[in-house]
Amino acid sequence: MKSKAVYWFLLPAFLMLIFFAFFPALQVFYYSFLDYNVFNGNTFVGLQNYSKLFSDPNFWDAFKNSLIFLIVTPVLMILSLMLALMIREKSGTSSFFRSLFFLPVVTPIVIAGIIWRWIFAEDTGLMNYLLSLASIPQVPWLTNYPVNLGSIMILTIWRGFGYYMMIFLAGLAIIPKELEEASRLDGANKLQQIHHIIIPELKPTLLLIFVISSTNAIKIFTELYIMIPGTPASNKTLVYYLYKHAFERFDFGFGSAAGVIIFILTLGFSIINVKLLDKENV
Amino acid sequence: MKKIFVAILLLGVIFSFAGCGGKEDKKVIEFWTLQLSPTFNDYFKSLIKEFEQKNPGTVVKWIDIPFDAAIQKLMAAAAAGQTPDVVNLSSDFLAKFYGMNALIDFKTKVSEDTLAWFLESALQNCTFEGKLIGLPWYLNTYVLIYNTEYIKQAGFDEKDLPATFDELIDFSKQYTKATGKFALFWNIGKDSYLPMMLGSEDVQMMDSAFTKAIFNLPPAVVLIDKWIQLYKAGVMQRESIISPGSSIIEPFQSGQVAMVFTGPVFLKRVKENAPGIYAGTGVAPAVVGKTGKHELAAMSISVLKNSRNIDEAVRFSLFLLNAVNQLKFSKIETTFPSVKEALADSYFTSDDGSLETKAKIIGARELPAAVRLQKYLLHPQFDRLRDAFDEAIQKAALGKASTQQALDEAVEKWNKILEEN
Repeated sequence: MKSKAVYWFLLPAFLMLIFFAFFPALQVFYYSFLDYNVFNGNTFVGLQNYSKLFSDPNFWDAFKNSLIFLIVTPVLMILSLMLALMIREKSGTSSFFRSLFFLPVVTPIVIAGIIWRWIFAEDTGLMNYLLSLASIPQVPWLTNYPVNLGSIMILTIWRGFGYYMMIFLAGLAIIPKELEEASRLDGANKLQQIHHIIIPELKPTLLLIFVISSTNAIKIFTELYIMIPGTPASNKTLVYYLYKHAFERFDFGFGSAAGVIIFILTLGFSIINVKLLDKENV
Repeated sequence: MKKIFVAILLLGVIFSFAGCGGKEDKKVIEFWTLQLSPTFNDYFKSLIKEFEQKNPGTVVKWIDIPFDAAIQKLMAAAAAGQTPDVVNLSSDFLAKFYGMNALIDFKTKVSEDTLAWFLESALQNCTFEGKLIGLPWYLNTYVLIYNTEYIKQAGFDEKDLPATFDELIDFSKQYTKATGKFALFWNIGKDSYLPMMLGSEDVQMMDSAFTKAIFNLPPAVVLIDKWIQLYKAGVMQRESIISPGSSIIEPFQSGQVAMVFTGPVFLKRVKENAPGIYAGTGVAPAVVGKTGKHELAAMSISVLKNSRNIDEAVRFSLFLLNAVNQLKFSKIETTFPSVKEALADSYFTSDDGSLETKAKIIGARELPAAVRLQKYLLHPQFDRLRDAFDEAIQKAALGKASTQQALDEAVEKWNKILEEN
């Protein structure tokens, strides 16, 4: 009886999920086979949208850029783990740094994007000004590919490391103190402790962060939209490609086909994660 | 108690049906505008009230939508079967909706005499393959907005201001040489204004039937290359190849550049955002090519084909666009009416000494010579054409291809797109 009541409580949330997440997601699969026209009715075109997609060089450029963007994942993981290790002990200073490092996470993305666009502005921005002080040639932070993709990565890392650092801190908090103390008594130095105790104990957290940050990297959009909207399609990533076709050109069928490919890609990462976690639990 | 409850319930049901009956009697026209609220709230309230009094049985529901989300909202409404009856569209949106076969042809609903109200060039902006899918509403053209202090500091006088595109290039070079700063911000690689320059120089980008692109031929290549070389020489801001058209005023109002070549309507934004810069701002006639023609930007009014009240929607559109209402509209913000009678009003020639008035007089004087110079914007696939052109300019400006090579590639892309339609 008690267990049945639980399902009733879950029902509203489950219905919301069905109507606002699963159903629209399934519709995208259907739309990807249509020439979608809201005014004159839809036409079934079979796999035409997919063949058009795979023969578009801009799609492959976007696909490549999305994969390149995955570079942010290891950088974010290493940086946030290092910072978490540095400020894991509770003290006044560590509380200050926790707040400081978390600040970019709570900064709205549009504001962060505009600020970084000013910083990277090629004639008037801070970055090139600092480089000029050191007599280093000016860098085309926004106009030139692939430098502009690197600029977006810097923004993504700046916005993300505080969040992952917090997850690492939570993971570090549950590592038994005795393990590290025992290793210290046995003569292990800090690096050995990280290598033999902390990393193995943090494996579930590492996997979780790997999946979250890599799927976020594949889904990157707003940063590009704010910072480099005017660069060519070949400088953009998959979600931007989808946005352009679906919401600027209103080719919803074609945009849906791009959406399905992104879904398959992110699903791939999720499956890898589940497999790895299963292996971990065995 | 139970009886009272049942009685109240029954009354409620009866009244609710009565309400439905009332609504059925009235014809509701839903009218969408692009980002005109709150400035025009009072204007529309009084206009709608007057229309409803003159047309009993018709109710107008005005909804203002943000410009950036306009098409998305319209598409979402169309997908839900809830499109407005009358909609305000810009030229590029008009082309997009023409491609979707969503708008009525006014020629089938409006007499020749009524169409004679409008400026011919403005009507041309709304004509696609002989179909008049919109009626022109408020218009705008370009003026040169400049910072008087900066011009003086660079050793120039106001009489030295450029009047032609060639003079603008020379002026920019001299200004940068004298100050180490940028004279002008002009988008050349994103929402590029170079097609406007080509149009004013009488160089066409496509053949007259819109079937073949020709901007890789020498007349266009020579003119475009002048701007590419200007960019490469560091005389233009580097972001001018990737900044969208909507950002054109920002470098001017933040004091980064001395001039901007855009619509007089932007003066208000400078006044609000940068009063210090506004205090030293001047306006001059727009820069033109050898034809002397100016760009005409037109907002239009369209009626959707799936409106349930097309006749009422057309009647409301004509009421909105009559000379009296257009003149009232133009007096609220610096725009120009599309009907000849309103444009002939003394308001467009009277000078009260303010900057806005000066811009208004210049604009009104220029308007008869203004036409849609960026003709490719009248093509339903204008956005794909624009992207291909913009990418060619970026490629050439960044030295990834010569101007000729980049334009050859763009022409090839254009021809493929033009062939599809």
